[in-house]
Amino acid sequence: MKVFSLAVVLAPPNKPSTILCSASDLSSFSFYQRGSVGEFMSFFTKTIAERTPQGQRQSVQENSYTAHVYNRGGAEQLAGVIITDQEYPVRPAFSLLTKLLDDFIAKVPQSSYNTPSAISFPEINTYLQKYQDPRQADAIMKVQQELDETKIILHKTIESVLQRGEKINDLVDRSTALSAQSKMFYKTAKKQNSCCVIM
Amino acid sequence: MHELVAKLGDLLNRAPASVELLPGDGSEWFTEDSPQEILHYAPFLFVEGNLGVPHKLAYKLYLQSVPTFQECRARLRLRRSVSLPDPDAEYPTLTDDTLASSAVLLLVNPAHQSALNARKRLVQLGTLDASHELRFVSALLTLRDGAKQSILWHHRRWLLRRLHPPLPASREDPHTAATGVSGPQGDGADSLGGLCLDEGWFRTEFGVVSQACEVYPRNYHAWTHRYLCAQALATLCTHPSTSQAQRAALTEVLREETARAREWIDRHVSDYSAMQYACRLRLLWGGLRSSPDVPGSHAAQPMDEASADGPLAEHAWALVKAYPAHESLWLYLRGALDIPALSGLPIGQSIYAHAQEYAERLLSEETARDDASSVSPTDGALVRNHAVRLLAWVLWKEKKVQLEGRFVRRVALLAGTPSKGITRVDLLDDTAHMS
Repeated sequence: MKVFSLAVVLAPPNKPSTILCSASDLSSFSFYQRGSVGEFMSFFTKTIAERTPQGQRQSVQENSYTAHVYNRGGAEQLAGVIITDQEYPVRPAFSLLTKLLDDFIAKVPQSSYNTPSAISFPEINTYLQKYQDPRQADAIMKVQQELDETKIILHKTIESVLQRGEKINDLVDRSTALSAQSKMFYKTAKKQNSCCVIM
Repeated sequence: MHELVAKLGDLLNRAPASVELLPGDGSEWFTEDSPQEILHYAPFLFVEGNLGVPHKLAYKLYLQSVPTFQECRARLRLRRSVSLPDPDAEYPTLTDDTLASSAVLLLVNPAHQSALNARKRLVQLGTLDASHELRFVSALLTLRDGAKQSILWHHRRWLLRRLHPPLPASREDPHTAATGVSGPQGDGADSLGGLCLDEGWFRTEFGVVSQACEVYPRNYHAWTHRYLCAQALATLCTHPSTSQAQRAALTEVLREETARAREWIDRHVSDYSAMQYACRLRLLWGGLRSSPDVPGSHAAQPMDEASADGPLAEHAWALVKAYPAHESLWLYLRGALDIPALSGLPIGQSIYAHAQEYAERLLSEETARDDASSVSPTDGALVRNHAVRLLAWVLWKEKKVQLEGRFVRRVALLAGTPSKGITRVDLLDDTAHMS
């Protein structure tokens, strides 16, 4: 049961998104994979956030990973994305996203969204560590009255989030945020269809 | 022997902190402005003691190693059957070549039995240090393919048996009756029972297992190895030749293990091997408790379930309530409920009753919505399946039913029936009772 990454994303509709702040725990990955896994986490975070309409929640499964996204929208146009393994329970994941975004909005002024590197929000690291075991976190295991699970859209692969005509392989290839090593890891994982490698 | 085989063999035999195979030919990792420390090890990567070997290269070097290895193996065989005068003069690099070629073979195929046996031969001949070889095995266990190989774990135990002297023969241990293990040798020659290891060794072994379980999840052979170590630990605790101070130190390690197993289960709720391990560990404690030789087996430090944060059954039940869709947790609960029966203590009646009540509640008309559990709508069918089976199991343990065709079919039928309130009465209905 693992949370791999947590991110707050500025997601204006129909425009590219920006990760405002993020935290990750990639210690369970091998030494040379770690960097690439980190890059892919960011890549998928943005790809998924950009394709989630405001006010909506989605869960995207890809190999042994699940990404949950909540596009809060609103004046701040923020979305929260959490990437976990298959075991991590769904409700606490969304509960955490709501909490994270509320906290972020309260503490970080909207004016600093233009300069993400200047944003200081160390709480995101605390959230990541604390919620590795959802039972330890205060009461997020309880049912959230306002969370209607039937409204969460579930995607069995990341391909189904993409627009018509978009292919994930093309997006990976074209991405400038992914290093040559990362793309190599991705290509090999796809070929071998091996889980628990990159994606 | 080819130069790259020798280079790779040398890096592997240094027992690096980790080993992994990189995709393709590795060219993405090297550029003209790569620093010297990187280029020094090219075409391999060796950063901070972590070895990376490109896939394509590994396979190529594997093929090149095979003839070298076969030659070495043939010569090692000769050395066993005929004691040659000054054998090194004939093939002075026999040891080095064997080490290098076998290491490369094992990188690609960590279950290469002949390669491991050749290395065992070198240990027997005294040209390979057993504790260094243990570190080499630890490196192989960081490979995803390696961590799951029973043969590697067996090789590890072989090395441990070589490194440590056996305990002096003792009378029958009282704990063996509880654990069902025959004598200090344990269950056959592959155990570590009867070895004199200190607490540092045990901690190392447990650490290696933990790492292997991270690399390859739900790692059955790793947990088996862990259990054999724990069993050896328990044997040592009750052995008359162990000093009081040693006993205290070893008991502390066992205590840590119990806590660690629970923490692991909290974070890995599908790892059934870990749950079985926790139950068997609890049995080992039971055996220690009944031994008169162990400190605190009666008064000073109670070594019962309370020493590890409450009874195991409560831990299991809390997890089942939190994650009812996971079958492994329901089986963990059953395993934990079974323990008092095996060690002669009274059955945790309240846990049994609560578990049953919870199962029935899950099966009642109004599930999920206003329940404080985390049953999501998609898991409904799965959860009812587990709950029905628990009820059936409880009835079977209470000897209210026999495990025969009619009952089993009834269980399956009720488990598959959606949205219907089910209680134990429904299971009992129309089934044969024991006379």
